[in-house]
Amino acid sequence: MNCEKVIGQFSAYLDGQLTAAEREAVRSHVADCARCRDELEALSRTVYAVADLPRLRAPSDLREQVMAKLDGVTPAQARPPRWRMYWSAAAAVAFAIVIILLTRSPAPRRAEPEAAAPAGKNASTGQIAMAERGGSAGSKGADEKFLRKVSNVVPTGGTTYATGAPQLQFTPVATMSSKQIVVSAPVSSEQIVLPSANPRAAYFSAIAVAVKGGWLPADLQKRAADGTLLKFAEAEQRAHQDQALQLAFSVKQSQVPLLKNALAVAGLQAAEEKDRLAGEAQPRFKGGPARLALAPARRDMDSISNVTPAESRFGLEGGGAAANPAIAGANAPAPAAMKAPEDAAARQSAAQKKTEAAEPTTPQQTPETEEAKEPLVQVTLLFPLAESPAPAAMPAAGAATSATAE
Amino acid sequence: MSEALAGQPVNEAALKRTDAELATASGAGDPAAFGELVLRHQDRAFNLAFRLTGSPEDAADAVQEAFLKAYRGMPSFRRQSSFYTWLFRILVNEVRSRRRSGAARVSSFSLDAAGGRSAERGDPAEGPAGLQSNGPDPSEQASLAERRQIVEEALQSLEFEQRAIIALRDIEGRDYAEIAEVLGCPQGTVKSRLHRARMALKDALAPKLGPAPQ
Repeated sequence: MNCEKVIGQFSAYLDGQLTAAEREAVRSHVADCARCRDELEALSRTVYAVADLPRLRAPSDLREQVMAKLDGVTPAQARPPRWRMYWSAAAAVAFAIVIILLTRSPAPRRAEPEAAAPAGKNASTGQIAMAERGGSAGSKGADEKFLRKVSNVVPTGGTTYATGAPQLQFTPVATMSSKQIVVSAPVSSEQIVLPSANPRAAYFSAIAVAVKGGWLPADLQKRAADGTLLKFAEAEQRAHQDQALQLAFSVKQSQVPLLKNALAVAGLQAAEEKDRLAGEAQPRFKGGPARLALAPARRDMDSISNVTPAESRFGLEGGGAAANPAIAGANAPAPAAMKAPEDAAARQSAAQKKTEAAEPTTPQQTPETEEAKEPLVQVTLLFPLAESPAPAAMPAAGAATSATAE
Repeated sequence: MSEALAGQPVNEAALKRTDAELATASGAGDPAAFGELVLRHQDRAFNLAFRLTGSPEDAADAVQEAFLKAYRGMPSFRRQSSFYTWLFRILVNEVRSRRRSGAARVSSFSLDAAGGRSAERGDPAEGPAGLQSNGPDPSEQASLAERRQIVEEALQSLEFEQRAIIALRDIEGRDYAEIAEVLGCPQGTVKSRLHRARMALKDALAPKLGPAPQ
């Protein structure tokens, strides 16, 4: 592909709108063409800069004024909405499918009814719903297809895919449905793939980010305030004995400041706390503000299966999922899952110090390619479940329980 | 657990109703139901209108008018689309036609002109919470504000249709299908138009924003 044609696809590339083949073509071109790489970078920054603009609120009297003008205006009689019945039913089924997926690994069934009702309701508004790609309900291998795109909750331009399925290898797939939740990160989609110790953690992290960041539509934000979304998230977290919500992805070194900005703007209170993280015995699983941990990361996050232990992170190690040792923590029982993070944190810290000493010019990887000039930084966003006095902590209650005692 | 989010009182009864249900009730002449819809969508509508007009006053006018048209036209709301897309289509058309008729002048933009209503996605009373508590130091804040100002201006310098498509995608986070619906154009057109618009914005920004941070 020539440069012009590649550049013509950048926008769709950033939006995750290309087919796998097209995407790969863009990637490989950009890997070899510095000019196009710069171009992509510039476009990505532009998109982010726009997404970063503050949201404005309507004047406080706007509603009043509208209502005043409604006097004397009568809409013609509306038809009974037959469609609604079907839509609600469809939403309920879709949600049931999601529940099945979510509860494939051990989880208390009792969490479902409580959560299903409000979430199903959400789905029927067409504004937020959960959808899974590919797989049918509970089909074998559904986990491989577990991929969530969280939508429309973003102050940023990129697209974030939350996935915890090892076999996906983080190939982002554009799902066009608007009935999805999307959390975007302030980086180009290339970097925004979210490995996670388990799919649910990633997914609910995304919800947590959205709620915490106030990125949901107002009505959903209210529901969140009402607790239904987060209660669900909480129940899931407890069930999975994951005591913190986490988002993990990698960004280019140069994008870290942007990321921090975005997080600050979203009120996420993320702070780089690598030392503290490393020093804590059970660092992440207590309440407190969200934390941002940075560590050097591989350039090619697509080949997660090649990630060595030192490069992998919290919760991505330990356990024994045969298919992919590197992220075997996915469905590991709590003790293993909880043990791994400490080691990982320590290793991470060591690795960080190395990077810091060397940055910004020395990447962790052998600089075989031009790309290696700009190292990726592995970002872990942690949202400890509330147990702490910190008012800005994740507004979820009492979930950091037994598993942290390990 | 809801403290952190309990900024606004929750109207239990209204929460139980979906947009579609409220739209139906509105169509049957229930102003209260419509009032709830206004409440739900006014901020996003205003935010978009502001980006389209560059003026808070013009934005407020356009949003009001769009809501009124939506109310009057409720019976024609077919429900193949969400209320949101339908409303925003009305809104974009409203702003577009106002521009044509010259009812709204393009006014110069300033964040201050927005009357400090920047919500920063947080409680307005608290201001940009993240920035104050642990965010960048003041000098960084200043540069952030400056940068945003530059971006706002660059956005305003684009053609209306370009501004609209960027606002819908990158500010509103709408997907291509929804944007196509709001703008009333084929989805394929969205793709190419969006790309051109972003490239135009990129070119407008390049000399002002300088190289990548760091």
